[in-house]
Formats: sequence, structure tokens, C-alpha cells
Amino acid sequence: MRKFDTRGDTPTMDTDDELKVEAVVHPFSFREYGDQPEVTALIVEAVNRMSGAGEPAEEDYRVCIDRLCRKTKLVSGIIQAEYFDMPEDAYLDRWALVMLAVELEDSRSLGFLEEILASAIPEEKSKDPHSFTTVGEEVMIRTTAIEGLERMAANGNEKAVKLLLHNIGHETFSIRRAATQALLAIGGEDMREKLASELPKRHHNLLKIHRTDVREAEQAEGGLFLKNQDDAETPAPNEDRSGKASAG
Amino acid sequence: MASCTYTVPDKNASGDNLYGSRICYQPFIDYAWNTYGFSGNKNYWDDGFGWHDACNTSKPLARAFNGCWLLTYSADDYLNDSWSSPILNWGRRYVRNNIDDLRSKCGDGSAIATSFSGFFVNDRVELYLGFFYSTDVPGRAEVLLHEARHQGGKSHNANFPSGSVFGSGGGADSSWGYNGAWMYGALYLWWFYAAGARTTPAMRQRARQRGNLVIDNAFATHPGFSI
Repeated sequence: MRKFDTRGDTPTMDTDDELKVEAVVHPFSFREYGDQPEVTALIVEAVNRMSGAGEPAEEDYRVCIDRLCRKTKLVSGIIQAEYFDMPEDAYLDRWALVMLAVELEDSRSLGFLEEILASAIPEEKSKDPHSFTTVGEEVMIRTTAIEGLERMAANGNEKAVKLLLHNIGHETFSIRRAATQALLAIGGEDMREKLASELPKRHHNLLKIHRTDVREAEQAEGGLFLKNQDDAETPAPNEDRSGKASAG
Repeated sequence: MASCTYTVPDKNASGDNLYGSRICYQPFIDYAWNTYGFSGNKNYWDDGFGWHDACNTSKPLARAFNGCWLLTYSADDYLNDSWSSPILNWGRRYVRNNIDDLRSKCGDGSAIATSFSGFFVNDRVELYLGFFYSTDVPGRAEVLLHEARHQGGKSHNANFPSGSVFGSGGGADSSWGYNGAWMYGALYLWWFYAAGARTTPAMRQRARQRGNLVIDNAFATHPGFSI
């Protein structure tokens, strides 16, 4: 049952907060690559388009990645230098650089991904990790690195397979789970037997976890089978990229 | 009254500047303001939070609208939000049915959002700076669903498993079948990864990594599957 709001926008007597926002162009320094403005601009554009929205978002992003793929060696070098130059708490931007390296599927990135996975996860910085966890952000950076290894391993890169095997013993559950499942995805039943022999007994529970299609998972109860009666006014999404509007 | 400052990149992976052109559309802003719990809370969304600058994705209001846009349009058939469809379709309906009072605040740098409900309590959801600036757009949709589930009356009922990234003690859900806030958020991200429309493969991958993090760490008993 929908809750209907009866309040207007009359200023209330409650105290509220005040925010000052300072904008910067982008989070990168490109300290060592000032002589490569076209490529660094393309990297900024790719990171930007990575999280685009709307009908053309995927195509725009793909076009950008294709352009980067034409200069893979240089781009991989810039990504790696930039990643290690970023402040530790730039979690989303660090993740984006790793994701970009994953998209390039360049074997020269193996050492980069290996270094990320081998680096110690800093201790939790958040006072309320239930709500926002810095360790969780670090883990997602590393499980995305595992995704990069899986893509390369699926293309027959033996070193990527070895790195995945190394990480089934990672101290963090989600990372060894991701490595185990990446290997199962590329190696099938033969790999399951190999993993059963390589994993210590206390970690055999990893083999009971299955990568599953969401359509086969138990769904949320929501309000199943009730007729929707309150959505007639949903506007179609705006595909015009230069609108003006105001709140309230 | 608290005062806070934040430095925000104009172009980065949060997705906000590209979502900006989507949300900057008067019919959508009117719809979001009136249906997602903003209405009546101008006081909480002005003074730098964006009420006078609703299209500016450096400001919290536009960033909240971005999460609402994703919730509204990520199903290919977005006009169908019947309960018999996937949560990708009806997640936004659940959020707007359960959150009727959505406020922005500076916060103290710990929680990114909090749900308040109960006897003698003004039922509401408060969003803090981390929601707008540390969380990507799919993650904001997850947070809104998570808090909506709490507003819908479902509390956490278990301790986090040993070694959880979310910490120790209470705050976890006992199982996937409990249908709690963690399950709602993870299932939404799972569907977004599998079938999210009007987005990119990178954002779907981000949703997958976050969904797996929740599945691995937020249930007392691991569900036994992953994304």
C-alpha cells in the first residue's frame, strides 16, 4: 500500500544542514604523462562513459574502449601509473581504472592485476562498516582484478590460470571465492577435481557455492501478484541530453 | 545546524555527470520529487544540497535523482512494475511505497543512510554525504531499496558471519529466504547485472561485484550461490 504524503513544501521549524561543494575537473593527475593529452583525455572519457545512462550508453562506452584498445601498451602504462598515484580513499576511481584494465584484456596487465591482488587490504577506516565499508571497497577492486584474470584465462593465458590458482588461498573469503569460481567457469569438472585437491579441507565449502542465473534464484516476496495501481504517471525517459529543469 | 564541505570531480566513474542529462527533464523531476519522498522536505534539500540547482550533479539532490532514475528505468520494460515481475521492475515501486520522507544531511562521516521508524518516531530515511559522493549510481539504488525494506518493517535479525567486511555483531540477515534488506539490495543488483537496460557493461560488472560482496558477507548463513 502506497504511503501518501500530505506535506507541502512550507519551510518547517526543524534545523537542517548546509553544504558547500567544490568541483574539480577529474580525479586523475597523469603526472608522468603530460605529453600524452589525447590519450589521457580518452582515458578520462572512458572512465566517464563507464557509468553512462540512457539508450546509447553502452555503445558510447564501447566506442571509447575500442579507441583505447588501439593504443593498449601506452594506455595500460598510464592506467597502472595512475592507479598507484591515487589516494587510498579514491575507491571508486581506483576501481574504475582496474575495470578499464580488465576491459582492455591486455596480457601486459597481468603483473598489475597480480600486484593488486597481492597487496595487503588496509584495515577498516569506516566507523560504521555496516553502512559503508572501506574493506569492502578494497575487496571489490580485487574481485574485479579476478574478473580480469578470468577473461584472460578463458582466452588461454596460462599465467592467468596460475594466478587464479594462487588466489584460491587468499586470506579474504570473497577473493578466494571469486578465484575459485573463475577457475570453475573456465575449467569445468576437471578443474573441480583439481581444486578439491588443491584447496585445504577447511575451504572446501567454496566448491558448494554455485554461480547462478538470477532467474533461478529465490526471488523477493515484494508484494507478489498484486495489481499495480499507482504508476500511471511514470514519464518516458528523456533522451534529450541538454535539458533544463528545476525541483519542487 | 551542521555545515559540511565536499570536493567532487566533474568527471569520474560515479556516473553522475552522464546521468545528469537524463534527470534534467522537468516531467521526471516532478515525478521523482513527488513520488520518492522528497516532497515536503525542501528544507532538507536546500542550503547547498541542490534544491535551487536540481540538474547540477555536483549537488546531492541531482545525485539522489540519479539513483531514482536508475530505479525507474533500468528494466527494459520499465512501465511494468507489477509484483509478479523481477525486482528490477518493481524495486522502484517498493521504494516509493515505503519511503515517504527522504532527507539529506551532512552526517558524521560514518553511516551513508539511516532509516528511522517505530512508535513515537517520525518515520523517515536520512541520506548522508557518503550516499551522494562515495557510492556509485547502482549502489544508491541498492541503498534506497535497503532502507525501504527497513521502512517496510523488516529489521536485521542476525549477526554478521565471522570475517565479514561489514563488521561483527548484529546487522546481518539470517538467510536469503528471510527476505530482508540485504536480500532486496543484492537481488536488485543481481538483476541489474543480468538484465539492466540503459546502462553499460562496466556498471553491470560493478553491480555484480557489489552484489557478490553482499551475498558473501551479509548473511549469517551463506546462500550457497553467487552472481
